[in-house]
Amino acid sequence: MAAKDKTATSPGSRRRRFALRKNWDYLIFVIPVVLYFLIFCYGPMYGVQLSFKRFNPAMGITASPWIGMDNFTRLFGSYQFSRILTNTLVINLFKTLISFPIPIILALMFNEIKRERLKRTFQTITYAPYFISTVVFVGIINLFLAGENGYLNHILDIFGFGPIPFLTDPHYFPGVYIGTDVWRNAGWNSIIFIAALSSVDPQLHESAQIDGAGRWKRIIHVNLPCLLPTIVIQFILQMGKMMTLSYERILLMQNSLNIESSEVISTYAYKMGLINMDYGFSTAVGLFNNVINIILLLAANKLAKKYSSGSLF
Amino acid sequence: MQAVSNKIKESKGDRLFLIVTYSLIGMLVLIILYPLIHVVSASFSDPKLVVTGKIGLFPKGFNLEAYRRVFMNEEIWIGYRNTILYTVIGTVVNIALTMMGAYPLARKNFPWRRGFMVFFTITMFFSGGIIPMYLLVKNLGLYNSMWALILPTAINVYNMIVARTFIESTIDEQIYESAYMDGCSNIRAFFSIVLPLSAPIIAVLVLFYAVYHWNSYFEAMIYLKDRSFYPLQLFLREILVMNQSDNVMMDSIETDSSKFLVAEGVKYAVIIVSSVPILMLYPFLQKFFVKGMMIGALKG
Amino acid sequence: MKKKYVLLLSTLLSVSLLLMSACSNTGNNADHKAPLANESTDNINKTGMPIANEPVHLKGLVAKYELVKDWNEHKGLKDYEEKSNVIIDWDSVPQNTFEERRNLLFASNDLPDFVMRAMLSPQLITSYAAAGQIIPLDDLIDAGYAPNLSALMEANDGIRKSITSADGHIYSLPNISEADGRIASSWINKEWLDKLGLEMPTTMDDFYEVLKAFKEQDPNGNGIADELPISGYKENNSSGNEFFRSFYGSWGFGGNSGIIAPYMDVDDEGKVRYIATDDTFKDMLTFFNKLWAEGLIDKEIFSQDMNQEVAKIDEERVGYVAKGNNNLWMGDNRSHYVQNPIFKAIDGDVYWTGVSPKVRDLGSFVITSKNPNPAATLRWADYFLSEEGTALARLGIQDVTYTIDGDGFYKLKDEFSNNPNGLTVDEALAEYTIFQGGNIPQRVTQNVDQSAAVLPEMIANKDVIRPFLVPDEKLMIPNFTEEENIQLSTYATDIEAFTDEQIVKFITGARPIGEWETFVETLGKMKLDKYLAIYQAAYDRWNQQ
Repeated sequence: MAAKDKTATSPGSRRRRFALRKNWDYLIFVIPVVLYFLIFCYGPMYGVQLSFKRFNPAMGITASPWIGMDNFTRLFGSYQFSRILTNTLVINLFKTLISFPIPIILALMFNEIKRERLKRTFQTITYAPYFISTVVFVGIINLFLAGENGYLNHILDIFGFGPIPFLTDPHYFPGVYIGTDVWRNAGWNSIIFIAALSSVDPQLHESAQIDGAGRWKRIIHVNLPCLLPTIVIQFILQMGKMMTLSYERILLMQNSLNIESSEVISTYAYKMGLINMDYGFSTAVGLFNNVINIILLLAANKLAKKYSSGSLF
Repeated sequence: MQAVSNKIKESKGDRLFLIVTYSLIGMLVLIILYPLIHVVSASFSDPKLVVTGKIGLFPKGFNLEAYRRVFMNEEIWIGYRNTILYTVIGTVVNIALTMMGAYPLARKNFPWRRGFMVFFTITMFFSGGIIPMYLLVKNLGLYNSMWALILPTAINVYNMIVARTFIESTIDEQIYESAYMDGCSNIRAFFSIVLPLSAPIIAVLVLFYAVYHWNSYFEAMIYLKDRSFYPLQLFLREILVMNQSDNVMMDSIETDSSKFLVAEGVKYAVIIVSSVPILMLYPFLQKFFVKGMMIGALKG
Repeated sequence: MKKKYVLLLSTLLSVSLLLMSACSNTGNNADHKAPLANESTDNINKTGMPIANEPVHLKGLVAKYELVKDWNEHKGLKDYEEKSNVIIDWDSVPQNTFEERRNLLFASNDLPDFVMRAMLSPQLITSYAAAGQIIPLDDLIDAGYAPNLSALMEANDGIRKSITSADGHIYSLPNISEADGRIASSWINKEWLDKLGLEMPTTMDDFYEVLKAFKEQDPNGNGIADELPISGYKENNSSGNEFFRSFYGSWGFGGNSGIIAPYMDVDDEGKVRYIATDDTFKDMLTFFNKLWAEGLIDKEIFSQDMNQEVAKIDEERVGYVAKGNNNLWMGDNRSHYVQNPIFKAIDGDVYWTGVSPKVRDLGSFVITSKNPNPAATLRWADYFLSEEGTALARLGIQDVTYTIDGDGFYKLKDEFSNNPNGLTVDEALAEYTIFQGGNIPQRVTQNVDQSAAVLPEMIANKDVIRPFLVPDEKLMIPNFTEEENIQLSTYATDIEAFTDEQIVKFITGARPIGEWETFVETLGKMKLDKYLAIYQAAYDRWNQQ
């Protein structure tokens, strides 16, 4: 409670202390939440030290021997390192540029449908692909895109385009990944924006309508500004995921022909770390990833603060 | 499409705009629907035709073997019961804690809210990994109990941030002010103002959390020992990998390709069986989006 | 103002640090208990049944194969439990989730008494042994608690050598396969050969001509050139595609197709070679690049899964395929395919490399340091190495599921081999046997093996290649020390992944064969010599034992 005494000295903090005294009742809500984070998130965090250790299960995490930066040198020293880093960033960049805005557009379009039942049916259809398990999802990708027999190549054939080796040419991998990602997740990701749109005050629309604003104008001047805080937050969070890709799907889509562009940090870590039960190494990869993620997140947050109303902190 | 332009007379531009919107959505829905119908058709078809890519829009070689295999398995029903239980209880806990965390973070008169925000956000990036978590669950006595699936994942920071943003950006400071005038405490404001106005976001949270619980298997795989506690997904995974090629080839009395093929059909049936109930959630929850809007309209 | 956040944060952090240290003190107490420490050996019989006079209770962890019933409710095991007086409380984990559970239990040192179907790689056995989590079995074996294994080791020196770890101890029990199941096959479409009036090829050049004929002369008679002379499927393990591996022996490479030691074999002087940098290997790649360029290899061979491959066979489109130890998996068209002879590509010795060592330590059974009754546990598992025990594992209970005929051949009862409810044999035996999915200690001989490998036509197929099998002494089973393991982990993944990737590129022409020298140089930069030296040390150690 030493903190309290110190706060009393500066004038700015007096207001805060007053605020605390007046608003102490927030603590009833906050304390259980903080307890959860302390016990289940901060409690196990001592495991992070494994990045600098050679894990010996019988000795446990704290007693395992320190090996300094060995795990990191191994990661950075691999001939694959620059490649997997580039692949990870390229895929995520496309994700930010393409997969991120599409759900917003989708939500704005759905919002224009006034027939409730139709709207609900369409939305349920667009979010349904989210429930297809990864294995079958990749199976469907194969069915539609594989070799000369894929459905899509049949269609391209009709229009006179030669078969495109979607799955076996490394150049197509990021495109295939993003395209299928949009197919699977766009509907699901739009839900949050649809919810935000539903809270737009109808009066705003009415008065805009009276002013003679058309649908397009109302989207730009009424809906979008209302969505902005949500968009900004989602964008910041997306920036905090720039180094992350789930290995499961990529591993299934990977083959020896496209590996050049499909090997990313997570699949590499999976192969090197988790298969050999090398917990130290996989923790180190995770730590490296997350440090960069945090830097990007903080940068995005700073930008958002400077140029818009919403920000994370 | 024509029927939509009614009531208030729409301008030409608006009509054009609507036509474009509807055709875009229509195209999109078709693109999404086609593979989905394929999954449904495949689950009813002869697996041999499925593998060779002979199934288009309609089932061929109509066949219920995959469903028979899934439903004959009595454990599927145990799994269903457990999953529903875990999903309902888990989601209630999630919603309660998430809203309890999001509300103060959204309020400007809550001191140190930035500090708390940092404190929570850090956990999105640093986790101790699986071993300390397992030891913790074991030491807390949660091992082999339902709570091992619920408590460690009680709050998702991402969802909490989403809820905070919603509360912050949709509920006007004036509403709180007038409530405080009436002698309303922050706690009461939560129940009388925030909760009712947050219906859309709570509906989204329910969806996010419920789907998470419905689909999760990793915690169950690690923390549950008794088969009678297994959720649906664990049993489905077991059916799914049954007859998978690699191991069978090594040591088996009879290895017949037809066995792999049955597994192929089962893959599709499993998706239908496991996702249909949770898919039903959306149309139901979407009503709350509308409801939220109505209350929003009243406030002005 | 900022100070406040920092203060608040640091308070919260320090509280959590306290919590952390509280948590981290638990679960690290490794008990390095010597075997036999407090086991009352009077209770344990060294031969015959029961194993224990007074019931012994054990906790076992097992990977339950999907087709086998829960091990706690398993009729075959219940029968054995009554016989042996060893009562086991199983943690019967489905195989597809087993690895995670096993790794976690070991990582958090929360150990059962023993693990059955443990599927531990030699690397893991070494590191768990080094950590003192699993106990050496040799003292117990020498004290007579593994009578069946001892008898087998006496009759065949090779066994001890194959299951001894780099530190000189035995940690696991072997899987001994004296039946044909250990020989993998490849299959050529005899029906097509006959239709086109072609001889069975015996050299690579003949084989090439045959493949061309398959491609061009429409052997399936549907009027479309949809034939795939060579097909196969994408494998998730390293060490190349199976179609490609099946030809190593044609170019004179020995080894185990590189399954145990990727891209490695042992030459006649006992030197471990990395075959992927050999000039002959380059010739081989050049040959396959020609096949690829001329469309003789299925373009989807590196991307399709096995089901798609089977479907193509089913459609009468495939000429040659390498897979499996019998051809039942090929479905209705299986009768069209026969085992091909070895296609010679060089003048010297050729081999059939699709063979597993007779004796393999599959890491299938280990006893942990927590076990209070290691002797009883070892005897329990050793039983499966007797003929009677293997019969229990593979065929179930005598007179309930199988009978023994006058010549000592075991035969399944009709209701199981030909189930009236349409169940496959493996399914019908679900609550009687445990062999499904393999990975148990057992000794499979032709007379207890009921698999397709004992069918007369399968034996005839194997006879074609039997004289060329890679000799046992060349099938190295490297066991590494903990130190070697750690070193290997830095080299192996890069070297293996790079080789896999580049070989595919050479075959498909994505990288011209002219860049061969650069490929070899790059491998050199990845410390191939150090990598090989570790394998050489392991081989020498193995060879001397």
